[in-house]
Amino acid sequence: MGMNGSEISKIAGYLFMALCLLGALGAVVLPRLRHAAFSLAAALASAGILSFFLHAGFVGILQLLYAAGFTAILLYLLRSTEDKNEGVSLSYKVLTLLGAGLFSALAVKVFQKTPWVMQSNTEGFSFGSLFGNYFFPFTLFLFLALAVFTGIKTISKQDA
Amino acid sequence: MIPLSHWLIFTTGLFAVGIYGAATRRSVIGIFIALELIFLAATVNLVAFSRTTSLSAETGQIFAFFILLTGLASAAAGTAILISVFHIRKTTDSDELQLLKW
Repeated sequence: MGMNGSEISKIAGYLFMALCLLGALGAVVLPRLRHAAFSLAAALASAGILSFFLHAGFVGILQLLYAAGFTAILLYLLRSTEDKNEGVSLSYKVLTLLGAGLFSALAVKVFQKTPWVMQSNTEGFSFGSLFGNYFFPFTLFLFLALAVFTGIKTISKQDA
Repeated sequence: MIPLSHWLIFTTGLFAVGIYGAATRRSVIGIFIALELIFLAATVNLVAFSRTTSLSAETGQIFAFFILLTGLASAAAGTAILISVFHIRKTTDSDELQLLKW
């Protein structure tokens, strides 16, 4: 009694979801920031692999590159500043956990009650649409990115 | 195929973990890491919606692309600001960084 490809793919999808959530938990719970950065990298990479399950290969590859780039930036930041152990009071942690849990329960209830219009979509990503239907947001984003990088250069040139 | 409701529950969990991290971390770098999880939840949500609902697949992926690039730009800007602030204050503790107060 073997499993078919669709079932294996589904199980693998759930496994990567669990891995992503574990990585996310590690990123917020681990006291040492360097360890949290690596945990975040695991969460980002798992989310990248999950994109392949949604037939979004382009976003998946971008997400994997993003995981590597972001971890490199974080490690550089930790090397340049400080990598300290974090300590927060237990009561505050419990209160925040309760709040986050309450929010999740409420959101799940809303998802269950909402009548989503379901239709499996297999359309792919094409770069051409960035210069067609989405030309305006793409141009706006490029100007925003240019402003950000000019700002970064100005800030990093300032003397302490 | 994994149903949409499961993707939504997964991203809600990711979002809640991000909120928890942003509220409990004291270091600005820790808060930065938690915010990244919130960005991640939004990205996965967009792709999942575009795959499983009548929304065009292209739309969700293009907006996910914009979110990823904006996240990377904010990471670079955040790094520059944090290093600059660390030079002045010698700390990254959010309780001690009150530069907007006078």
